[in-house]
Parts: sequence; structure tokens; C-alpha cells
Amino acid sequence: MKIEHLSFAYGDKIIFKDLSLDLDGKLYSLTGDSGVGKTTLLKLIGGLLVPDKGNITDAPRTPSFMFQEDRLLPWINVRKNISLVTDDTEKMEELLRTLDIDGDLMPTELSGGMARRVALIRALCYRGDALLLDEPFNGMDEKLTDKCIELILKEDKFTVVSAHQSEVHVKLGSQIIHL
Amino acid sequence: MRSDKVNRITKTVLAFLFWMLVWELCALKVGKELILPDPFAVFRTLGELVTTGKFWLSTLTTILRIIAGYLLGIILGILFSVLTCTFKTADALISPLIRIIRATPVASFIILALLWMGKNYVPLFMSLLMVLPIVWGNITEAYRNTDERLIEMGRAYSFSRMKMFLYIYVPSVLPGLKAACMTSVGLAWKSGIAAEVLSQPKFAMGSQLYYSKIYLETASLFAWTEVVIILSFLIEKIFKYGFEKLFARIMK
Repeated sequence: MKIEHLSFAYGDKIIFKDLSLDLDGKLYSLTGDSGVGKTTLLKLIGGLLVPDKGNITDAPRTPSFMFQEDRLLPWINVRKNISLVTDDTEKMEELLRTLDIDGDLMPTELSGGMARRVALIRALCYRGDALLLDEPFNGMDEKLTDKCIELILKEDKFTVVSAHQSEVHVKLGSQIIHL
Repeated sequence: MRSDKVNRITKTVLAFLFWMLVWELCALKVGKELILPDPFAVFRTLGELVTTGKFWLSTLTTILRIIAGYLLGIILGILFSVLTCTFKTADALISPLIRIIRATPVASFIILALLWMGKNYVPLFMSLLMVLPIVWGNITEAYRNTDERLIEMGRAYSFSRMKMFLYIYVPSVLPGLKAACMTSVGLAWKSGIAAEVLSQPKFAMGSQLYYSKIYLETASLFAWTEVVIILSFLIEKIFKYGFEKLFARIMK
């Protein structure tokens, strides 16, 4: 994937000006200060935002997006939330078991870390050609983070992760893009 | 818990008795049954009324008429709202129309409706007209306030239009629809009765109120008013209970 001369602004606030990147590897980590544009870049790659100038070639067609917020539908349970994006119930049940989540719980009954895990399971279950993960390990302890990293790596897809924990990038073995 | 309920009932009964006493004292002071009949005369008249077929026929017809208008108002309110939220042209056409309906006095509409349709349909039309803007307003506002982040999530996961509608928009607007249904019951009832008073269909509680006034049967006027109040209270309770159950089920 190639980002060429990309510019993007929210109104008057310029986020990127003439940004060019070559992403010919498989695993990338986005780092940088808060507000620097990590989420915006993920959304631009994922096609949720359109650049003001420049272009992204060979961008993922159907990326699995894990947002900074969990964005689970509060009116249906965890299992239903995930099954809305996948028919692969076997994979869903396996991931729920692995990450120790009760699929019958409602999103309002989940702790912060549990909700992150559910959002990650949803992203992993989606038939996407890439993983775009925004702060996926928030609220998780080291053991759970390691488990999630293992699952992400197992997918073997083009992945971009934005995470503020520096040790995570080492564990992922990803190339770092510092914004 | 139980003593709380007993306390509440005792308080209600005592308040009722207090106001009955005030009413009785006022009636004694006025001393003219034509202007203010005493509570006993009114209850006696009410007792006589309930033994007549006319009473039950008028009551039942009024209830059916107003409920029909109320339900039609909800259905049309939903339909108008869906059109408003889906098509910009429909929004441009419907929004001013609803604003006009809201601003127009009920009496003006009743008189106009009398010119446009048979008097039997005026109460139904008025109930409909009171409910429609509330349902439309609540749903349209709730739709416009649907969480953008959930919509973006739906887009990111390629939700179909149907999935977006069923899983994001419908649950987002349901609380607004529920609130509209619950608050408009009383309004539909009162405006329906007011329309009956002015249009005087053959069998209607409002017509009976009007005839009581015409024939100077003040006790009968009070008795019919009591029935209107009791039914308003009961219908509101029943509908609110029904909607609580229905919406709880839908939300599941």
C-alpha cells in the first residue's frame, strides 16, 4: 500500500500535509502524541475518511475496523453484536472462549477491558482483508494483551495498529510509523 | 413496601374526601343546583346514567373513535417521519405542514373539519391531528440524534441498508416513539372530547356534555365530566402499561 502526498484537515485544523508513506510490509504500528492523527490515518486507510489531496493506492478493500471506542450496539447482546458482521459462528464461539467472554452479556454489563475484547473479536471475525486497530489493548492487563496479540498475528493479514503502549509494538514485531 | 402502598392509598382517599368536602361546602354556599350541584346529586345522576343504554353506547363509541384517531395518528406520524428522514424533498414539504398543525388552535381545526367531513369523523380526525406532530417530532429528532459513531461502525462493517435500519436506527428512535405514544394519549382523549362537544355526533360523550349544557342539566354535565375524567385516567394507565410492555419486548 502506498500513501502519496496525502493532505487532510478537519475544517481549519490541518492534520496531514503532503504525507507520503510506503507500506509494503504486513504489520505496522502507528505512534505519536495524542491528537497527531493516528485515528485519522487509520480511517483514511480504511476509507472511512476521504483525503483532501493525494491518494492511497492498494488500500484494503474491506478492512476490519476496531475503533478507539468499542461501538457495540447497546441493545443487543455480545453474541448478536458479533454475529452481525460474520456468519462464522464457530470462529466467534472459539474467540469468545479464548478471551473468556460470555456471549449472552449485554454491552452495558461489560467492563472496559471486556468491551475492548468484544470489539477485537468482532474485528477478527469480520471477513476483512486487513486489520485496522485503534488502541485495541486499552483496559487490558499484560496477559490478556499477549493473548490478543497472538490472535492478531494468527490472522496473518495486513495490519495497522495504533497503540500508546510501546512494549506492544515490540511484541507485535511491527514496523513503527511515528507521526 | 406494603405500608408505603397503604400510606399512598390513605393519602389519596383523604385528599379525595377533602375535595369532596370543599365541593359540598361550595355547593351549600352557592345554594343553586343549576350553577353548582352538590356531589351527592351528581353521583345520583351518574348512578341513573349508567343504567341507560345511551350511556354505554356513547361511552363505547367515544372510546373507539378516539383510540382509532390516536392509533392512526401514531401510524401517520411514523410514516411522515420516515419520509422526512429519508427524502430531503419530503422534509421540505412535511416540516412546515407540521409546524402549521402545531400552531393552529384546536377550535379552528374542529370548525374546518366540520366543513370538510361528516361530524362522526371530526373527533377521530382531531385526536389524529394532536398525536401526529408529537410522534413525528420525537421520531425525527431521535433519528437525527442517532449516534454518528454507531453509523460509522455500520459503514465500516458494510451493514446493508436493512441492517442499518433494524439494528441502528430503529432502536435509536424507539425511546422517542415510546415517549410520544405515552404523552399523547391524554391529549388525544381531551381533544377528541372537545371535538365531540363542538361537532355533536349522535352517540358521543362530548355530545352528552353539550346537551346537558343546553338543557341546563348541570348535575348531568358534572356526571359526564366525571366519566370523562375517570376514563381519561384509566385509558392513560392502560396505554402506558401496554406501551411499557410492548416496547420492553421490542427492545429485547
